[in-house]
Parts: sequence; C-alpha cells; structure tokens
Amino acid sequence: MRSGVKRVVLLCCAAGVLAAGCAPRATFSPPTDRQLSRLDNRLDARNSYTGYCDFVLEDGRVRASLAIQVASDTVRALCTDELGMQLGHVVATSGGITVERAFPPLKKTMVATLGYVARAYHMVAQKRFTDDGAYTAPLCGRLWLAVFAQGREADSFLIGKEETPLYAAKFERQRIFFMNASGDTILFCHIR
Amino acid sequence: MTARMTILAFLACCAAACRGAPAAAGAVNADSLLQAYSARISRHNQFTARFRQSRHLSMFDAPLVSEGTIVFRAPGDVRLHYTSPFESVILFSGGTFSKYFVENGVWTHQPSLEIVTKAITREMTRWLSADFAADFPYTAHASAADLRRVVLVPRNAVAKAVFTSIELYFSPTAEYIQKVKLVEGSGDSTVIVHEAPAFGPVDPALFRRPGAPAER
Repeated sequence: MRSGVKRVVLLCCAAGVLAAGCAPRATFSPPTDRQLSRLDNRLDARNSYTGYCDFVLEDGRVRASLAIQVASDTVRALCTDELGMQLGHVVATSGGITVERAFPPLKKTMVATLGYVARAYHMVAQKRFTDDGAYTAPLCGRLWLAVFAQGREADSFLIGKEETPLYAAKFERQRIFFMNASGDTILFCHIR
Repeated sequence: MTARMTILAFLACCAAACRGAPAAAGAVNADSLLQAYSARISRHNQFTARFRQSRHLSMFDAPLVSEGTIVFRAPGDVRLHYTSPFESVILFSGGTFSKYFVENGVWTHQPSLEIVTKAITREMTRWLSADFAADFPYTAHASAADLRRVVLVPRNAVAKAVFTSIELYFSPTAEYIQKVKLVEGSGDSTVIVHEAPAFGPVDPALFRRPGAPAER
C-alpha cells in the first residue's frame, strides 16, 4: 500500500475511533451517587429556573424564553416569546407528560423537547430511580436516566426508552443540550 | 413654558375632565382625560426608554422578567431591543413586523410565530403615540382618586379573549406612559415599566434590520 493511501486509512481509522469515543454510547448505566448528588445540589437550591432555548426547525431556528418550575411532584416547562405569549407549556408528573399548550408551528418539536426538559428535571427532582438507574413513569413507559459511558462531563445523561435512546440530555453548567439519536443538538437551553 | 407651568396646565385639563364626570362618585370623564394626555404626549414625536417587563403567571412563583430598550418614532415605528433573558429585537416599522436574535455574534432573522405578538406590538404603537382617537377600540375608565391611571377595556370580543383590561399609568409630568399592565382573563398579567425616558431624535437606522456590531 502506498504511503499516501496508508496515511488516509490511518486517519480514517483514527477519526472513527475518536468519533466512537466521543459519541454517547447507547447502553445504559446508572448514575453514580456522586453524580446524582451534584445534580441534587444544583436543583435543590431553588425551585424555578429561567433562561432560553432554541428550537431547530426545518426552516430555521427559533429562540424562546424558557421557565421551569419544580414543585413537589410536578415540573412545569414553559416557553414564551419576547412579549410573554405562551408558545408551549408542558407539565411532567409521575403520571406522565401533559401538554397544556403548544403553538401549532412548533407543536411537534415543542411537545417532544419541552416534554423532555420537564421530564429530565422531574427525574432528577423526584429521584425516582431504581437501583439500576431506571425511571418509571406509567404513561411514558420505562424511561432511563443513564450516564454517558465515555463522557468526561459528569452531568451528561441519556434519556430514552429502554435500548432506544430518543434523546440525550447533556447537563453542563447552566446549559442543557438535547440531542437526537444522530447526535444533532435539537434543543439548547440556557438556564440562569 | 416651564415644566411646572405645563404640569399645571395639564392638571387644569384633568380638572376639566373631572367636571364632565358622570354621576358616579369619584369617576371622571376618561375620554376627556385621555385627550388631555394625548395632547401632552404627542408633543414628542420620538421616545426612548429602558423597559422592564414582568410576566406574572399563576403557575409560577416568581415573575418572568425581561429587560431592554424601547425606541418609538411617531406615527407607528417601534423597536424593542431585549437584553435579557436573551438578546433580541422586535421591529414594527412601516406596517411590517420582524424579529431577530443574536446567534454566534450575528443578528439572525427568525420567523415570527405568534400572531398575538404582532397585534400587541401594533397596539403598543397606538399607546405610545397617544392615539386615543374616536375609533379607539377600548372603553376607557378613570377615577378622580388617581388621574394618572386609565383602564382600557377592549370592545372587541376577540381582543377581550387576549386581555380583559389594559391599565395605562402616565408619568407625573404626563409626557409618556410610565407603566402598562396587561391583564388576562385567567388573572395572569404582564407589567411593562419604562424608565429613564428621553425625547431626543433617534437614529432612523434603528428601525431597520439590526446588523452593525457597533449597535450592540
């Protein structure tokens, strides 16, 4: 094999290894006590969060204000436009997700992503985990909160149905990235 | 005319409005009062102020707060530049509504989603220009106990479905609207407070698509 071709093959292999290493592994492992504790510390400090989020649509990106409120067994996620008009509002309880409002052009994305925002907070706030990291919500099926196997971010989680991660939620300092199965960021939340 | 004299003249107009009051105790002729405010406010064709917008929702413990700058140019151009919770601009100029936000340091146009927002922005230009003319689509109410507060109740059923009342609080000098409270049927409300008003000429470029980095 000529050296140039060999170099290309090696580069491709290296890229593949890197990609595999960076990508969230689609296997579930339970969050450690330390990781849950870190999230607890962040979430228990207050019960409301505000910020903004981006929705990626086919014809562009839409930015909206985001407010999250954690109550005893309820988490509300609300998106509004600049003047405060409600674009989407979902409620997560142990019984599942209820869509209170979803503005039609954003409905599909809004319901899915806001639902996951609310659910993610609900999971952590309620600590409804089994020993293996599973989270059970009767109307949602069996959902999982699991740690990125290779992720260096200690607050990175996968959210999805068993063996089929629908979304990855990556919690960083004041930021949450929601990604689809392809790894594309479909919702970005900046939390104050 | 000194500021004090103009305020006295304005109060005389308000007193005249009170003389035309209906029989109910404390009530004033709100339409006359609005006309007095209109004459005072419309002396300024341009208006700039900082604003703080608080959205009070029953389902949330704390209000959702936004802040920014408002620029108005009569008869109907308004620019809302939000600096928090994220930087964005709403432009209503020449009858056209558009929205922008900053993405990677660049102003990006975004599709306007909410038709109600367009309608509210249009109405804001009406309040800011003190256009309280005969075809004003609200019934006005005021009380002698607080002449700076005028409550507008939409006549149109569709508008009522959005806001049951709009409370305008005029500044002590009656030169601008200091506070607006939009009340919804659910009891939720939005309060917009204008601070540090200025009435000097504004850059016409502000009513065009934002883009120059210096503008930020």
